[in-house]
Amino acid sequence: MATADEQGDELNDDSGIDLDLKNPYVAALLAWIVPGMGHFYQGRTAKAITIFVAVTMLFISGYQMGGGKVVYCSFISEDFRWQFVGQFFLGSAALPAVVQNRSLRSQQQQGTSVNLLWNGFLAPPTSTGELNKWNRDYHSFFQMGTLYTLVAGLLNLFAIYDAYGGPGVWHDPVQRKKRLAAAAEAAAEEVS
Amino acid sequence: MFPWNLLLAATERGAMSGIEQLLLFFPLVLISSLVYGVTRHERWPVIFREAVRMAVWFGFFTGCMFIVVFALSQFN
Repeated sequence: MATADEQGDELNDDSGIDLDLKNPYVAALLAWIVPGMGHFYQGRTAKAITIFVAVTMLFISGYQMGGGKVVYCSFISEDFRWQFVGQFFLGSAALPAVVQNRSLRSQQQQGTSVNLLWNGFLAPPTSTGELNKWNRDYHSFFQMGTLYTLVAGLLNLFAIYDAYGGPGVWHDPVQRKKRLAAAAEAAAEEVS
Repeated sequence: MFPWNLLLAATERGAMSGIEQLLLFFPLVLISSLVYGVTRHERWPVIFREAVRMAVWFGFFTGCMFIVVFALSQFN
């Protein structure tokens, strides 16, 4: 029978947890496409729901705050949108921005009149003047919306890593030692 | 629309006060702490404890930053 200390330990650490991560590459890809989808694929449903709700709520909230203008891809000298690097980890929510960027830049290079796809959804500003207008119109909401969507993307990066390699605690050397010892003990018991 | 945005909808667009900006910090900290805990641990009691620990740490760190920046702003 387990002592009170052992029961406490069981609740206080994850060393005894046995996880089947299935195909980690598929899980990571799914986690990138839709937040929480990788965990759902691995059967970690509660985690999947938590990640999906938290990350999506943060993203939609930031997106709405910035009037839908805060997620766009642009890496030209006049508008170097470094925040998109973080937002990119939202996968399906950020991919249309890449398509819009390629479409707009090719039109600008050809010198044709600019015709944005999907009614301008996740399109970069067509000029510096337009970007200035967005900042004027939304003021601090634009910055706050950018921050929210950036943090949502970075949190999904953590989730992608969790889907790929298991919880962070697995990579903690002390926890790993405990886990391996528990596994060895279980194997020895099975043999005897 | 989410609760904290409903709160902000009462104000005119582009006129967010300092207090409102400060209020927006709380959902950010709560969600960041929770997702960090979820990705670091597997058992829910441990996840919640880690989330609370992270939220306190974030709050303390940003609180310190706030005090420093606020003190510096007094010299303008």
